[in-house]
Amino acid sequence: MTSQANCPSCSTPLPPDSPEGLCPSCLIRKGMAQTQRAGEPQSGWTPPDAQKLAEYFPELDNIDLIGRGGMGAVYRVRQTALDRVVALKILPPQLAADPGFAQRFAREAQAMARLNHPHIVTLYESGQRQELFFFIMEYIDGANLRHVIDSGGVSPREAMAIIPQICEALQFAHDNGIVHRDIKPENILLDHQGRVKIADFGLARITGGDVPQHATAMVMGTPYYMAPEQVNSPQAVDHRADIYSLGVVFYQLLTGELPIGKFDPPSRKVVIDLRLDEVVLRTLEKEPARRYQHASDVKTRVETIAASPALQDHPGMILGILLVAQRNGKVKVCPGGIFRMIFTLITVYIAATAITSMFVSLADARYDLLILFFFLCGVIFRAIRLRADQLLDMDAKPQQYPKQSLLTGWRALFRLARVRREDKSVVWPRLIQLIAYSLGVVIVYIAAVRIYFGILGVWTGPFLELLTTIGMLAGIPLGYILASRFWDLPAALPEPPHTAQPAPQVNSPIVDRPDSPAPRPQSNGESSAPSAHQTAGHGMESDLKHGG
Amino acid sequence: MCDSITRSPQHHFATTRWTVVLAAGGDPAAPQTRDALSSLAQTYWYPLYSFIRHQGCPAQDAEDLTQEFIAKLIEKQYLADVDPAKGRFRSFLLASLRHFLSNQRDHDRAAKRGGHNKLIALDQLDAEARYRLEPSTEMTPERLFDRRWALALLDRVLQRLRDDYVRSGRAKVYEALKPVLQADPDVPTYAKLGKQLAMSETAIKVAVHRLRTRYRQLLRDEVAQTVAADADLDAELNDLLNCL
Ligand SMILES: [Zn+2]
Repeated sequence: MTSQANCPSCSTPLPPDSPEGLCPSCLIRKGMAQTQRAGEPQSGWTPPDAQKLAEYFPELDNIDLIGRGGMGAVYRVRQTALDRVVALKILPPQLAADPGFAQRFAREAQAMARLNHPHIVTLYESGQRQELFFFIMEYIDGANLRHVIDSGGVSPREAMAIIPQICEALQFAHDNGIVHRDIKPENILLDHQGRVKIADFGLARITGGDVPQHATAMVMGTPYYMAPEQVNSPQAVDHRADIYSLGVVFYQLLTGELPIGKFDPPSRKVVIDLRLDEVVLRTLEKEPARRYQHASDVKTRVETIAASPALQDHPGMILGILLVAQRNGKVKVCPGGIFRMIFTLITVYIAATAITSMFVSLADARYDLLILFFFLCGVIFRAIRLRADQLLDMDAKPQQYPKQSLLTGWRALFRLARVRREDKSVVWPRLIQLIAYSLGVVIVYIAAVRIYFGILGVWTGPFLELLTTIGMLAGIPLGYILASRFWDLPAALPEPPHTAQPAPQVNSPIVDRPDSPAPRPQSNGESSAPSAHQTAGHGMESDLKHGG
Repeated sequence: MCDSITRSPQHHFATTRWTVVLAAGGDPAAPQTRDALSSLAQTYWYPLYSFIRHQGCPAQDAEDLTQEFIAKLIEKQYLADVDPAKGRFRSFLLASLRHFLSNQRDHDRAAKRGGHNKLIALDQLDAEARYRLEPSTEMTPERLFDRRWALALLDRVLQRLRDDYVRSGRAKVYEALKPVLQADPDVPTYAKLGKQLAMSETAIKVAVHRLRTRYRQLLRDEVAQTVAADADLDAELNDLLNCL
């Protein structure tokens, strides 16, 4: 063999006869016994094996144990008569020793059977066979969120697609009077298309997972995901406990860590939309009253953030140069692009003339070229960051792309520089971009003022001179308005959340704003407030959700 | 032939091929013994062939000897010597093969050659092609036998895995995701795979998990077929890893 590659995993040379070109050693290693995950609840109970279970359930076959934990064991089974693969959950028999158990089981099972929702695992049947209490439910051929986290983590984009689905399920259950009480990655299943299905609704209540007198159940539970009130005053637990657990899952999806003790807001750990900090921190409020009161509120907020991602690189007017946009391999003409291109060409012409006339006496034409160079750098820089589909999207839904002014751009840059103290690599490109843009704005500003003054200079006479003076004074802000109106500027970062409820115990970069530079300019006539509230996401949201 | 894959490890141990053989007490007449042995031989004939070939046997003779050995294995007495308490099929087979070969030297092989029914289909050309690819090393024949055994096992497992995916119309998914069996993909890989298979990143991660779970299950199942007890499974995997 001439080319002998190395295994990418263990970097030993691959033998020429390696099966399917894969490293045999690594393949064997993948089959070795896995060490028990730390923190995985392990009770003394051994679930019955397939043959034993078949004695309890003669109507089932192909029994296969697929998971076990403190709360019971799950089997994949086939209902022979229906030829349907389902999941069978068996509860540990010692739970049934508790006198209230049977009653609790029946009551909760009835409630769970009402939960018919696309993001909730459907319960088909429940009951008792001798000492075994069981549930038969929908079998999800996929993975749980824990597996997905372990196999390389979840991107913020994925997290923002997953969380709303969990919210939907929770809201539906809460509307039906059911609190999950044990939301954790293991209970959040994902089918083969990546859609969320929540398992074990209400199971915690049956098994007494959050009732303190069941000391063993407490230990078996999942304290990291539990709301503080679940530990301190379990009698007072309501649906907002699920919202807290959801926040823990969200935090973990974004940062890969659990929010334990005095934790940093997610944006301190990873590069994410700063508006997500507000959502996560509010779901993690110790006091239930300070959290989001409904899972649907979390969903709405996350979806609006997901639907206006354009803040980071939303296209400007100047991008009219991109007259055509490519989508799915087809070239399409952007209707708004024609206008933008004409406008851009006029602006460039005026700016170039103004600059030339301004500097012609000072020096030679190299200044013009220099400034034009900066200007073009800004344009090109922007253009290459823009995705063609965004351009089309912007034309279709202009209201979702809020305009930013020059000052918000600079302010966002300062904020970014402060948040990303360790890693300045994200700051430099934006700095160059902003300098180019600022120069561009100055050029247009000067051009506008010069034209304006030129017009004023035509007029004569004492009354008209007064008017001219007033006009000159007004001209300066007017020029700025004109300049920034038509020069849509890059926003380095989205607007900070304008929540009135910062988390007091957390030192959030959004919260300490006294040193923030100048207030947001309102000069461009359109509010540059975050788009979150005025825009309900549509296209993006469905893309994210059903990205399969 | 792959129907056992839907059963869990616990379930297997009642019915693995090797335990069936052991349970029959080496009675070669028992039909389940025959089935189990020929099925095992089908998977592991190549290690036998290459061991024989490694003894200096020419290709044609090696094939005949392999067939002959398998025929004897299934029909004759080797099983009587097995200690059911600690037997692994791999060590049993190697010991029997050596025994067979040393007996063979004392006989006139030519008389018997070709006289046997071909119980399993050996692809002669394939076998020779593979044998020529073998790295020429200083390994002992035993070590080489074990190494080929491990490779034959992996071939069989990957074949079953691929069959699974092909049967459910997801051959493309298998081909694209196969490399995750040896190394953890990084984030750009997930994104690339997502684009390639037109699946969301999350769906790709789910698919990766399913592939790995299935692979693991098949590998352990296939190894379980050749050991006598649950406890031996990981020891056998360890041995196989060491001989690669
Ligand atoms: Zn390797």
